[in-house]
Amino acid sequence: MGLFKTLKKAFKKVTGFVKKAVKKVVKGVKKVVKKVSSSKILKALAIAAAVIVTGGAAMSAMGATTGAGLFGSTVGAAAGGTGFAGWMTGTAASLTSTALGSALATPFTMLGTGLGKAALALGVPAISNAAVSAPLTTAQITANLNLPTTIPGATAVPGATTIPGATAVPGATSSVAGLNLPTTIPSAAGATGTAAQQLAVTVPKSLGLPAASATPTASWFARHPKLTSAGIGVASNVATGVLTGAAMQYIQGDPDTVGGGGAQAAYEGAEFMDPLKVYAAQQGINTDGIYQHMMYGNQDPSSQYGNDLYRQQTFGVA
Amino acid sequence: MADNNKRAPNPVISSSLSEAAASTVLDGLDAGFTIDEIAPDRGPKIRGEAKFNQEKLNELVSLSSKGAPIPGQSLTNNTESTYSWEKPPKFTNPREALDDVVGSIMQPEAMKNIVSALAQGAAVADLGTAILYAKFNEGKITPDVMMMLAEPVMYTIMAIGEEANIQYNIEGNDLDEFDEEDNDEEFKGKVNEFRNVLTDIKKGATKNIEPSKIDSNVVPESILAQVKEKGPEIKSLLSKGEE
Repeated sequence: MGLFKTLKKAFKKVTGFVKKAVKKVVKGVKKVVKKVSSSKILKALAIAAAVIVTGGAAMSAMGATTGAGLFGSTVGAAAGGTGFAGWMTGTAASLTSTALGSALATPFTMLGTGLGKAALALGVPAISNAAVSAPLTTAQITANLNLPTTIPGATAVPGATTIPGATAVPGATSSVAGLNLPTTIPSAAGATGTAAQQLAVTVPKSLGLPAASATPTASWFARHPKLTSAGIGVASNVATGVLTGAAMQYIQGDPDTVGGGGAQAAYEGAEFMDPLKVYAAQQGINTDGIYQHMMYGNQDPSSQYGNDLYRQQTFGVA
Repeated sequence: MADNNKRAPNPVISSSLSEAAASTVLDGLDAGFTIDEIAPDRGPKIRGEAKFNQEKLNELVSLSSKGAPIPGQSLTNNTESTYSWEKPPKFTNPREALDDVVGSIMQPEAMKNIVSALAQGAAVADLGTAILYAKFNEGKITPDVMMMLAEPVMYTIMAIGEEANIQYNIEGNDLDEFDEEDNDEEFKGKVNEFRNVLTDIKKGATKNIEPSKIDSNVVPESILAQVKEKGPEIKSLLSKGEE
């Protein structure tokens, strides 16, 4: 059998396998998402797969005209990447930043067929990364809202600088204009200490009551001298022991971890928890040559095209 | 940036694109997207139904009957002018090859042809095969890489078909396969529902029927009287007759 016939047969097998995989996956998703037609699930899978394959560039190419579908229902959502494709790739801006993305930016627009026209007829313009216009000022907002500056029928209250009928509080030495508030505590003369202590004397006095008094209480430690001295002794001994132990260990160093008793679990750093490395380890793939292996998802090397690393500005070589 | 109301996507990685896509869709649904947001409905689809064309078939037969190379003919070729696929391929790395293939597919003219072919009933598998085979013929990829790229290229063509709102064939003439399966499932579900109801009636409802409790407004009294009178003599229409 010639090479081409072999290839044809092999390819038929592969395409058959792909179709089976598609059907299996559609059924799998349908079990989770009930009451949704298979063709709808197929559409969702095709969109997700195209985003994965091209890092979103293909969807950007198509979504530029049909933004409602892939990037959200509004232009703002399209530019901000709030749709499913934007969510998958992290940002819509990254989609056209790759070499592939820039090459594919406008085929659907350029086609001029129903693909582009349908979206334009619906009023969905192409994605634009142009800056948003300057925010409105307070004056512009007020002017646009046309708010009244005065409440109808409102007039100035006569004599509003003082409360009507307010008189000086008896015993107040001075007053705040209008409110006539006392600035000093009445009959505070003779009272000493903090404000609370002064109040404890002056308030009962003004009410004609005897001043509050309380005998000071000795602390718990003062009342239990034996227990206190014993406690201090114990604490001193413990502290001395701990410090001695720490000093000895510092001098002698850590003991050798030999044998089963001395073995300790190695600390797995975050580096080893990387999903790509975990996957590579599970599949027996050498991470140095991972670029040679085809894999799909948001953690595979090709999905990193959209990262900042690949979008940073570069210097031209003279 | 991505929508702040939705959580970040979970890490997805798989050697199969179908599985990765399924995981991503399920993750998106879990994050709060609806299926309509992921795959928006844009009205009735264009049916890409394959139609038989005798003229084109005759043309194909005449092309294929023009003669094949004699076995061993390639061994007589000049070694200086080799075919493209006999030289080392341009892309040995499948990722670079995929970028090149997808880049070719997404060009306006190519996309126009793909959409037109899908709308006329060409299958996704056939288009994918033709594209990859052409790349192999150009000496850009090896046969192994060609096989590896079958799945992503097919999905890319499917995405184009979906974006163009076409109901396409995946392999052969299987346009309505998914819809038929849906209908079958729906039919099976309704049959099961009917069976359950019938079983309930047989088991429970018939036990509770008493002639004394039958509403005389529903069944005329004269018929009820006949039922009470004849009772066991009444036979079902489907019962065995007297032998």
